[in-house]
Amino acid sequence: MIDATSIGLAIAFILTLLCYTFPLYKDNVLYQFCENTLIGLSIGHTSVIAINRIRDLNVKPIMAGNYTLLILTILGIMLFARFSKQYHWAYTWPMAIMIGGGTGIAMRSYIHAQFLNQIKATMISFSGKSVLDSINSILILIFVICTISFFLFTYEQKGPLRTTSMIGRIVLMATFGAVFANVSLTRLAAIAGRILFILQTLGLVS
Amino acid sequence: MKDLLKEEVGHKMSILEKLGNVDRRVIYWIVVFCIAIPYIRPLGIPISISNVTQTAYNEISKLNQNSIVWFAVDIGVGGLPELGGGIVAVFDHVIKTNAKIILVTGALEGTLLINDILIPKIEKETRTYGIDYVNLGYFSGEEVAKTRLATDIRSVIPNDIYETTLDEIPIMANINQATDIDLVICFDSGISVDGYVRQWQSRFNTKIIGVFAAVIVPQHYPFFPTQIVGMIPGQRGCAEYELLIGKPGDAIKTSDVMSVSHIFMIFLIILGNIQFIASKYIKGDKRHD
Amino acid sequence: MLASFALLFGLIGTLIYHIKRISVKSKQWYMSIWVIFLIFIMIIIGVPYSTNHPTYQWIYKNWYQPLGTTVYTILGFYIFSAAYRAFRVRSLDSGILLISAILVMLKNVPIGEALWTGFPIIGTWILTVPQLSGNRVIYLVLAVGMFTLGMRIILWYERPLERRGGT
Repeated sequence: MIDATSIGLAIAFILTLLCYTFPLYKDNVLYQFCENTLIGLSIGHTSVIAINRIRDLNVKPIMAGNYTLLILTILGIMLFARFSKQYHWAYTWPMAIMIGGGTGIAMRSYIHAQFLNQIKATMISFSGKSVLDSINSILILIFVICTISFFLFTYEQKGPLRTTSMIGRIVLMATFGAVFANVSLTRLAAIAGRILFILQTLGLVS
Repeated sequence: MKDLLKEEVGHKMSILEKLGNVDRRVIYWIVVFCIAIPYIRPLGIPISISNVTQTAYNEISKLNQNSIVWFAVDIGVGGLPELGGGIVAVFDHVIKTNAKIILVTGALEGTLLINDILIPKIEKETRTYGIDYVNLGYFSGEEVAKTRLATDIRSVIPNDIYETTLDEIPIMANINQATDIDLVICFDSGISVDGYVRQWQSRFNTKIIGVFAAVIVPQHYPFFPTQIVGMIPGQRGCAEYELLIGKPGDAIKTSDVMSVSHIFMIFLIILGNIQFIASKYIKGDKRHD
Repeated sequence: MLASFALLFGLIGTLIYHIKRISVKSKQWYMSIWVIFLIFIMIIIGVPYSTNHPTYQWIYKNWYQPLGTTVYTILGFYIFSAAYRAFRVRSLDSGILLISAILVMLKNVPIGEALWTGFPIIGTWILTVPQLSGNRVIYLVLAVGMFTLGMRIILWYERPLERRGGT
């Protein structure tokens, strides 16, 4: 039976195949059509979310009498001054608020969560740990210190610093290798998901 | 075939040169077959459960009908093929514990994922909206919003997705800050969970479980287990979770595919290096002649 | 709230760009008409009728979602050609990177354990010891960098919003 669901499924299937013409054949106008469709839909969806949020969280409360939100609305409108050469300066005020607010939050939270807590987690505690876990904890401490020494660019890398820096470099290479392995897993899983969709639509897989 | 191997006229290419000049489309087509064939004919390679996934499972098993779960689906359409199976498996497990669920998303596409995948599931379980679960929809602002949410949820999200104020929703009666939430389960393929760790866990010790796309798993290992109590890493973790709850799904189907395609990738790396080293050796020999 | 206005800012910028392309009839200007048409279709349905409207959901599920996921996956193919052509062992560092990548790959997939039970153990060790140490240092360094940048912005050594060349 031909209904909206089956038409939609057919469209999704065709669009998926058209997108794959680019890597599997060559760049062509069908793929460019898909690219531009995605651009249009994603910008459209983003705009819908933004407009709905402004309407529900800004315009409606202002119309109900909450006039303090007018300040936010004016700041938001000032963002669009970016498009004017004469009033370009007005765009910097709301940007400054966003940058300032973000910087303030980041400064406090990064130091606590990513600096102090990470140092705390590196400190060794042997209580309740097996021999292997204790050895690993010592190794983590050594590797962290050596890798930090790699980032000391203001000192000449000679003597003991050269050795620790070399160990730090090896640790970083192992880190990047692990990152590459995980990136490939994510990308492959994504490809697998789309090919599963194609196979399910063709009825080759349940 | 000759065209694909880029054989030049008047110059016979050695095998090494041919190997070095293989058209990438040949590789891509082999990848497609490496992925398609295990789906059609599964290999059934057994999957073992990793420590991080088991820890996440144990944490979720501790939930009960008085627990409040902040279920943050902060992924877009790009993360769905990898984590889709995990979202369903974890959600099934949380429903089984009878915990109260607050569905929320910081990703623009998250609302439609929630409506498409999770709402039909929970409605099938005959849970009551407003009492057993609530859908707060999307909030913008990333970490800045999470900072405010930690102390005053209503200042960032005053209404649910149906525009009912939170004060009118029974499940949200005594919930307005991070300390009221028992567990945050965050599905993430970017930096969303970092905001929860920095603003909720480090300030209020809220428990967090992360279901991560594999690409961001390495950068979150330092947070486990002190700041993130459980982790479900990528498609493999989602397959392990499906096994743990006894409901095989898309993630398990994809495991064999991952095995075959990874073996092919390792083969390509080794072959490429053999070709490279052999070419260097031969060039070095010719220079000595 | 400012973030929502910033998203609209992006919309205006995109519309200006595509209208310019149409007016000067640049290459494939008809695609710009299609992009603008789609933007307005989404807004016309999504704003008055909300994103829960069946038509909006239909467009999202059958157009946006397949396109979004498929275009995202095209990058995955490049990893294979990069693995074949670019991943070369030219030094000790690249050798360690390669070995670490292969061991973690074999840990990530079930066939690794089926081939040899040691692969998951070694792969997990790489993830939980050297990789964890490396990432921990990256976090530490990042935190110090963020704090330093914040202090520079507060003390006005960094002026990100000043126009270059004065005025």
